Amino acid sequence: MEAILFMQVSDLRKFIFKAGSFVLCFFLIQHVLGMTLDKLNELTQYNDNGRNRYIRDSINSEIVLLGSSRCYHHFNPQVFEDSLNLSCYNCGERRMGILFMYDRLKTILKRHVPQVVIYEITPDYDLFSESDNSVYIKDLRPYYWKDNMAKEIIDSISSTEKYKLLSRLYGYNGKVVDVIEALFSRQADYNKGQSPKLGSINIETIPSGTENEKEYDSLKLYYINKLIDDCNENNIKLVFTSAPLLGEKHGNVFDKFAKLCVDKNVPFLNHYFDVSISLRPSMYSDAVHLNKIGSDRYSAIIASELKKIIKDEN
Amino acid sequence: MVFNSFEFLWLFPIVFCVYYLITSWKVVVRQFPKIGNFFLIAISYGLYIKWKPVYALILLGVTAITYFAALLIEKEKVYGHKRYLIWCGIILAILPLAVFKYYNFLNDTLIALLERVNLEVGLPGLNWVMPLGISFFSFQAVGYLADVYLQRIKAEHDWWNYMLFICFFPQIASGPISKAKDLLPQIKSQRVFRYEQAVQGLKWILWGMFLKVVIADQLGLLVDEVYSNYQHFSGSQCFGRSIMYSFQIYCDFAGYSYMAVGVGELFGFELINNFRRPYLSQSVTEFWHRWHISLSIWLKDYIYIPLGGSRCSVIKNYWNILVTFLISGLWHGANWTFILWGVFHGIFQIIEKHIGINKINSKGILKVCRVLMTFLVVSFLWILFRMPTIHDAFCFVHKIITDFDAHLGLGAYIILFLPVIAKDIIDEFNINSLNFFHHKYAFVRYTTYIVLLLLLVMFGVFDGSHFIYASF
Repeated sequence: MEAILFMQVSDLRKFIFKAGSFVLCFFLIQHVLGMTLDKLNELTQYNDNGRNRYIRDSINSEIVLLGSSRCYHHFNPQVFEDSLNLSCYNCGERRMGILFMYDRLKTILKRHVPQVVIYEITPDYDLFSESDNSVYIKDLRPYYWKDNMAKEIIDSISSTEKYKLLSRLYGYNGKVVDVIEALFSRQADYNKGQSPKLGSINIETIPSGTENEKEYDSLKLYYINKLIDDCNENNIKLVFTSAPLLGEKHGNVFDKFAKLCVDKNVPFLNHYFDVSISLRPSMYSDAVHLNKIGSDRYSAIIASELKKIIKDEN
Repeated sequence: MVFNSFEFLWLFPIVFCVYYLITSWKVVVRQFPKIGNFFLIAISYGLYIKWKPVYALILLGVTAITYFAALLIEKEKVYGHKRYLIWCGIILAILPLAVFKYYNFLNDTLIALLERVNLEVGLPGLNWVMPLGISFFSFQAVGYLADVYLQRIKAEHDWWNYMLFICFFPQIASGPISKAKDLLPQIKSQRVFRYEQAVQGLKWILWGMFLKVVIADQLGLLVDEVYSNYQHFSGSQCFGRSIMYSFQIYCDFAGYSYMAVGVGELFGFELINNFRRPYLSQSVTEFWHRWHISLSIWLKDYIYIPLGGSRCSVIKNYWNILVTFLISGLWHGANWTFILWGVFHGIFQIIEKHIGINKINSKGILKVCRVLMTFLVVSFLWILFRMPTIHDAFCFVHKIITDFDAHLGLGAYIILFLPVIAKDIIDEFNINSLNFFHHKYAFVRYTTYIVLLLLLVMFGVFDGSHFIYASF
């Protein structure tokens, strides 16, 4: 028994020593790789990374468009520029909602105050509760240690991210390919930040559904309110919008949000159930996104309504 | 403790160090020789209580029922009374599983049937979360009871040994389903730390983690995109995603199993390995000797053989196979899709047995063809496993058949399958020079570990994903 216990201790010491050394070695390697990716990220001008850097560091347009892919694909900045005679840039991001967009706006406001912010609301990403909000922090991670707002948002979503982000490399989790790809490929210029979708959806029957309101996420609601307050403080004209969803004719999905907008005196241009577009598959590239024809039409509608709002206020 | 969580990363090393600290302390071990087992029981129940305190009572209840039932069965001399005791024990042990897992399913089915005859009768539904791992620990407990009844093993008299056998935390969530004859002797013996076993354990954990968070969870994102909206994708894309799902479920479940085995090894236990390269099977019959091996053994020993196995007429044998796989389907989930999935697996095995192909081990090009055919059959049957209803599954398959062109939408995503396929082929054919985990040169081994860890950090999906089989 004594001999067995002695053997166990010496084996255990050897194991812990080797494992500890390995972990230390790995930590150094990943730290160097993380620093390398930081440098590469700063150099990129093209693709999504380049666009992201432009929005964070250089944007100076008078109209800023924010939202998920339903902003990114839907809003044509040129239409707004022609209608309102103000420069415009599409800052939408795929699969991102208010938890990411609020940081995006705050970053822009550090250098530049736009006149107008148009926010395209997507219920699932901006309002409703989901099982896990961690999906929204992927693009914020590289900035955790450099941007206080990114840090605040990440910490409010997950209490363990700050420990994980002690790993320099972890900040680029899910983004390594984007960083490297941006060094070698030259994606065609975005249309002032927009990436319009081409082609039409191929369906035999239009899906019919009634989108109903679900439970709101308190954290998302908190940042929606902060967005409204920050725009008020900076004298920015804030307008919320919602693009038509294929097949949607009616529902109560925005009832609570619409009431919030009324209380806060923020216009909400709700076209979610706009049957002049929602029942026309030729304007859609898939079930949730308008194609170029649909997005130009929708942009024109919003630009026209916004023009009227601005004129009425003046 | 979910193995792919941040909590595991910091908590497990503490548990590991404390375990070996107390089991190496001579003074403590002399006074309390079983201190290690008590510690593992405390950790196992602590983690279970942390998840949902009241459900720990169910775990304790199933443990107590089967423990005492086994003792009574062993003590009883009259065969009739033994039978009565075993059936009571099994029913009581399975009762929580039946209620939590199948009550709503039976209720909904009954309501649907009665509605067809214009009767609106039904009990209220249950809105209870299923106890973690109930399918696994219930089967493990019932298996022990059956082994005692069949006199394959003696009943365990030490309550604490038996308690650890049921609640051992690496295997409780998603298996493997251990046999008492394999695990109990290890629990009862004086385990010592062995360097080689611990290193092997870490390798299992690393590879399992890689399969789960890098491959399975990445594939999961792609699969969900199409499966939730298949009407808007082409048949080829649906087919491509069904191939992805085959790898997702394999990497998810195998990943968990390897991590469970690895954690067990770190505590000095040898748990059964649940997977043996299942997609290299030449038949569906062989598939079930390589996939979820512990469940296959359980079904064979406690359902198939007691029904008569193959020692009966041909028709009865086919019936036994069908019933066994019907139960397998039912075990996987309370939905007609799982039942149909199980039945189809049974039917394919019956066909193979009838033709005689299950016993033939082909070589060369024929082997490759058979492996691909089996993979396709299994992949199509996984569609039933993944879809919420039979109607959706059949619509999905119909789309694949009627709207198929060459554009599978796999493209660069094939890179996700390659590590799994490569490792399985290397292990199957014992290509030692390419077996980087066990390479003779330390430099190659350590480089492999570092590369896998870097890939984990760079590409791992850590956004709260769960193990597919944990929902069973």
